[in-house]
Amino acid sequence: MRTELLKLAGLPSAWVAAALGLLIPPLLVTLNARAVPAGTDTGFVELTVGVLGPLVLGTIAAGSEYRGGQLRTSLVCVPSRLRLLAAKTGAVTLTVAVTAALSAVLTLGVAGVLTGGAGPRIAGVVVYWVLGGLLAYGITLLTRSGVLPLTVLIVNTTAVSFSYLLTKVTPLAAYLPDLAGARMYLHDMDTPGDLAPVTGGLVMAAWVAAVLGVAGYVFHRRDA
Amino acid sequence: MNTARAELLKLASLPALALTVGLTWGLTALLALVADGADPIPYARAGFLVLGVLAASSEYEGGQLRSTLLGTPGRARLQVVKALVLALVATPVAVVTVLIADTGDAAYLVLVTLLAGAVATVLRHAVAGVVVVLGYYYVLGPFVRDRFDDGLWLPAAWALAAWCAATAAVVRRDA
Amino acid sequence: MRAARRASDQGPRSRTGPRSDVAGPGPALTGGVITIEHVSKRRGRTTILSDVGFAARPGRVTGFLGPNGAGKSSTLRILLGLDRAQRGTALVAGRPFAAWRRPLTVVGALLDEGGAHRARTGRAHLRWIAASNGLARSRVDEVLDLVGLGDAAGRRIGSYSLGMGRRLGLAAALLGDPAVLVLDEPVNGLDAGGIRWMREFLRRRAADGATVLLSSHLMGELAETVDDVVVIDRGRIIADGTLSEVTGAHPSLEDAYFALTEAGTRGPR
Repeated sequence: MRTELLKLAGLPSAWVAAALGLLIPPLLVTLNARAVPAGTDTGFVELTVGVLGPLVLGTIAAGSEYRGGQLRTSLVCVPSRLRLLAAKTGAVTLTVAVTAALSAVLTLGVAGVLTGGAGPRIAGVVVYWVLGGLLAYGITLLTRSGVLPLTVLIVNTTAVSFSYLLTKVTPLAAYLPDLAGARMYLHDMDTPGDLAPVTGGLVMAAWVAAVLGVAGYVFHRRDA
Repeated sequence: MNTARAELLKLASLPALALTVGLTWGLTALLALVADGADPIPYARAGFLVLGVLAASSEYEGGQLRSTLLGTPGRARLQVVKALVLALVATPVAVVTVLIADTGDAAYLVLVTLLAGAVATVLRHAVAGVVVVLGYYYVLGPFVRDRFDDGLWLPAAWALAAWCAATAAVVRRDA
Repeated sequence: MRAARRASDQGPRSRTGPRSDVAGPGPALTGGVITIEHVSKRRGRTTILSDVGFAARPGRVTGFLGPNGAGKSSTLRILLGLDRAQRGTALVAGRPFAAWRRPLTVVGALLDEGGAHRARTGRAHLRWIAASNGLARSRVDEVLDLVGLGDAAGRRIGSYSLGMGRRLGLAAALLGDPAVLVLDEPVNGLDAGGIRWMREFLRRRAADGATVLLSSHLMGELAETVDDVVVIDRGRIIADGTLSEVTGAHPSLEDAYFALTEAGTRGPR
């Protein structure tokens, strides 16, 4: 896994992605402070948007292998594809988790809501970001181009969210990964159903596990 | 003219562009039918942004720019033609989108496509282009927008400025 | 027939005709001279090229030889208008590359990297290139047959092998039937059959009057193909002459090369 971390660190775009995750939520908090009144979810809503960073990171981590035949080099070093996949997954998880924790502390600090009780909610944000990053990673492995997954995921994470729109059509949409996962730390959600934080986290994790499972299977069988 | 024909052929032979157009239309239709009251145009706009990014960044895949410049060394002229061809291709797509959605402004969508294309030309990379362009319109956008009025002159000015910057970049950079 | 068609596109014909001792059907095409003079290029604080100058003449194959990183590709890219030099001129038949109206009819270039988008088919790639210079669509199939990619033309370029990709690049270079050919490491990625094919093809073109300039770091192969040799090392020209002149008293071009560049003392690069 260390190799994978080093590879990731060697990608300037990965650093950009991390920076995005680190800086966007606090920035949004400052911008929002004037317009939006403080509520139970202040700071946390902005952190939801900040998942953009992990999404890009996951996409880059997956896409980098396909560029320029690097896949062949990697496979020569680690013949077992699944082990390679596991190592990359680990690298992405670790990187995102660290970024998430830092960003959460920074954002909540800027928002003025960094209290002791925020601990579990911060954990929720970290898990949400990690799962989000892995989701982007898995989908990009399947589609081989980061453009489609990123487009869908980015648009979805903002005010113009498909998932949210879908909840107007069917209450089942509340079980989509982003909406379910956000339950881990958002208390004030305008969606049907009432998922407990842990349940929400498990639903999102299930989605991610499914995607990674399919990606792993396909990756295993595909020609380099 | 020859350069324009070549650019059209390039866009026509890139399957990802047709896919983007199809998905954009499909999504717009879906939203128009299913979610009453929701404006499909903000969603469709994402499709146009991606269209612009993919069209422009495709030149930088596999070193294709070199092949282009070997046949068309005049870089500034090339960029102008690229912009016109992109606009030409985006226009019918936009018109159809607006018809499906029964709302919205085709000219706006075309301008947005051009802007995305210019950004992707400077960045030379599809994923980076998508992140910057979508990030601006969807993440930062809501904050920046409220200050500015509607009307097309602002997007048009931005598109023009962006395309000039992109042209300067192409002219100055090593291929 | 071909010479008449190209008369309006080319600059002044070179006065040195094809080699008289090389059998051939006579000058069906006559390339212009490639002249490179006092070219210098720096990137940041590194000097990439320093007062580089040489000529490549029609009817001859000129080999541009040097170790990796010596500046071969940079020189060729400057010649082709892809990079900018701080000083110097690089002309094809008396004009800079960018001054030619339909460059593909004058110069065909095969560069190291593919130059093609993976998602397109080989045929689609050649079609837009042909269109960019107003070339007939029939040329696309002609060059595809010439390089032996007729069957693969309908497949995505991403599925091509390394050798097929190179052949596609050569096909693109030949679309305009140019009388000047510039090739950067043309046999990279080709198998033995391909290498021989390329060598014979280039010699035939030169025999017909074309100007062929190719760069390589493979001396054995180069010695089989070229008439003239230009050796570059660390951004400077260190030898320029016919193959026999440059080889001199050494048993082979390779020995001459090592003697000239003292590359042997540096170890592999």
